[in-house]
Amino acid sequence: MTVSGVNLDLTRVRPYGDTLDDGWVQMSFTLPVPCGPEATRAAELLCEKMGLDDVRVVYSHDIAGSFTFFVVYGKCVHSVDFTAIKVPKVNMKHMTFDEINEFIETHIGRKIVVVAACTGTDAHTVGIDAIINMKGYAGEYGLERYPWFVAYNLGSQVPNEVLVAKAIEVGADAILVSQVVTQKNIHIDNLTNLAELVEAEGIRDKVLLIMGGPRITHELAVELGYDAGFGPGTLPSHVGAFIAQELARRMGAWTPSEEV
Amino acid sequence: MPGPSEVAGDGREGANAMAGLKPDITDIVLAAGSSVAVVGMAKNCGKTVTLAAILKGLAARGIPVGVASAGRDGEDVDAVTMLPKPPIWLPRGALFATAEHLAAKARAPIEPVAATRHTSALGRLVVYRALAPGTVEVGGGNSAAAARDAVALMRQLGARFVAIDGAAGRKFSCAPSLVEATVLATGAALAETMDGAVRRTACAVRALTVPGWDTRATVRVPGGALSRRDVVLVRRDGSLGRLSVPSVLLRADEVASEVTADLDAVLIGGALTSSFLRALLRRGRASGLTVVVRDATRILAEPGDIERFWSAGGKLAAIHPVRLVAVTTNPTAPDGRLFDPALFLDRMARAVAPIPTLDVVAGFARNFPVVSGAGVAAGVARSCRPGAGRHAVAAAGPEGVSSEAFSRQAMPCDGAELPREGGVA
Repeated sequence: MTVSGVNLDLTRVRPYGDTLDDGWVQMSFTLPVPCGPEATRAAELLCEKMGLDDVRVVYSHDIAGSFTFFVVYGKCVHSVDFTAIKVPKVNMKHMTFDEINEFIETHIGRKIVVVAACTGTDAHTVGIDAIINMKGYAGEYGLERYPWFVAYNLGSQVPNEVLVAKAIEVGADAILVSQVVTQKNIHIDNLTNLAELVEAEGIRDKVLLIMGGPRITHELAVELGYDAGFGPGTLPSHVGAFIAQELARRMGAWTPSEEV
Repeated sequence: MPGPSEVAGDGREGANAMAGLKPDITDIVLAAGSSVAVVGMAKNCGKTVTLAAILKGLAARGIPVGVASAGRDGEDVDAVTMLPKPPIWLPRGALFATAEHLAAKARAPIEPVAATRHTSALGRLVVYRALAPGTVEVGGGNSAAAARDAVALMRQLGARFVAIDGAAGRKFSCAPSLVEATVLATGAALAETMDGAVRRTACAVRALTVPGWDTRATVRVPGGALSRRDVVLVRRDGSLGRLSVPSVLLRADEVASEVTADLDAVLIGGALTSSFLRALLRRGRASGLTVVVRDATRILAEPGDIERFWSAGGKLAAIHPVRLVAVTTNPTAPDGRLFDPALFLDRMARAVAPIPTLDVVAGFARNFPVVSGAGVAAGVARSCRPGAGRHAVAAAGPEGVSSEAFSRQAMPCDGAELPREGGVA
């Protein structure tokens, strides 16, 4: 492959800094040691162990007397084979707000009901609010604004069983769960429990089970038995389009090859 | 991680029972029937390595196998830790059910044999046959319905033994409607400390092995027909009352208020969660009451609430008990922690006694019945039979457990004959 007239070997991809393939990266981190020349040396040594050459600590700053914050530049010696990478992705066609509503009207013929929440101890609703709330996110409306969606946003710190109970009560077509707090991988326990609950209540085949959050991948979703996983940068229309298309496909009302 | 060629045992070792028994997990699962689910306490607890040990043993015995996964197994790297994961190795002729998109990753020649009606995010769930030995990626059977169809299809196509690998910490695949036997994998990945890992596993084992519901009323409650809408009240005089609710999840308080002092048991068709147990405890209705679920995969209350319910004199039971035939321990965690393998196994074995407990990589075993004459498989069959628990522990002399385990109640195995799924109607 050629980029700006330079031959690029996709089997050995390295970071781009000032020129193609120079390997330069910028990093920031904190060490639990007092700021000073020893701290700077410690940061350099650590970066060398991380596989950086030509390490330059360009900024260090004391934090509360016993910690130091660093900004570091260095040349990464490693490369990756881009051609060998295969990542499962959510399979759907992108659609706009109007296209999604029209699609639902045509292929499903009724409103799609979704329930959503941040479950467990998680109080960070920024993700689920971006997808569900009327005002939306990044210039897109949330699902509440879609005339062909009925969306229930239960908010934060919702027990899994309350989310599932609500889904049963309103006959939800999709359950959206958001997990932002992922320390010690607590989100995995919580997402596992939700999937088990949906199975135990006998509604697994009746709902789309969808997870989202900054550390969520579609790959993790598949492993835990979910239908889709949405990571950072997801917009309401991505989630809306997936739900509409997958629901229509399961109802036998639409096949993915058909023109949207 | 060791490949399948390095994991424990083959058939010949099992035969050498008296002279330093080298127990083989395959003997244990074969004694229990012709299907097994390997479920885990969490990710990275050793499910796939355990499965590999079982498959190796089955291949050595020439038993045609079928393999499915409730999640995704045999992938190169973990979706969370990005660390390498163990491969699933299959002998020539083995069947496996996997999603179309994963089939392309097989490192052995394979042929599609039949498709199920299920489609997941990874494409259609299809049964393939391995045309030569090699490693494959298995996944896509990630609901009970999909796994059930995959198992049935592989049986029709000639698999004499079917194994389902679990997904992360999910346990739905061990439902007795799917498999006859269950192996639980646990490990250092579960908790920071050995204490924590042992305690959490013991708690899960207790919930997973709640006894069969042994009463004459069993025959009048068709377990297979129960849905989440069904609540059956079983009075001490033997008469039955029925409630119909959208779900106990939605009506926990209402249902708990129907649980009067003259009830012997309350049977719920869906999930048993904390809100219902708490509602019973608030009303002082736990003592003398048995809460019956279809099977232990429906018990999803928090461990603390289950403990409180038990402490208050309540009991849990299942129409279809899960038959947990072994626990396997993995002393390593993905963050680099390592428990002492023998100590971890010892402590786990004591906590879950009399269930056979193995470290399939190190080749250690505890709670393993030493038998004479009749052969290992028969001995295992006896120890895994409900009601045989304490006897089996007492027999586990040289290879077995410390005296501490002997005084412990053989809590999981006190049911009567195993009712079979659908057979109680």
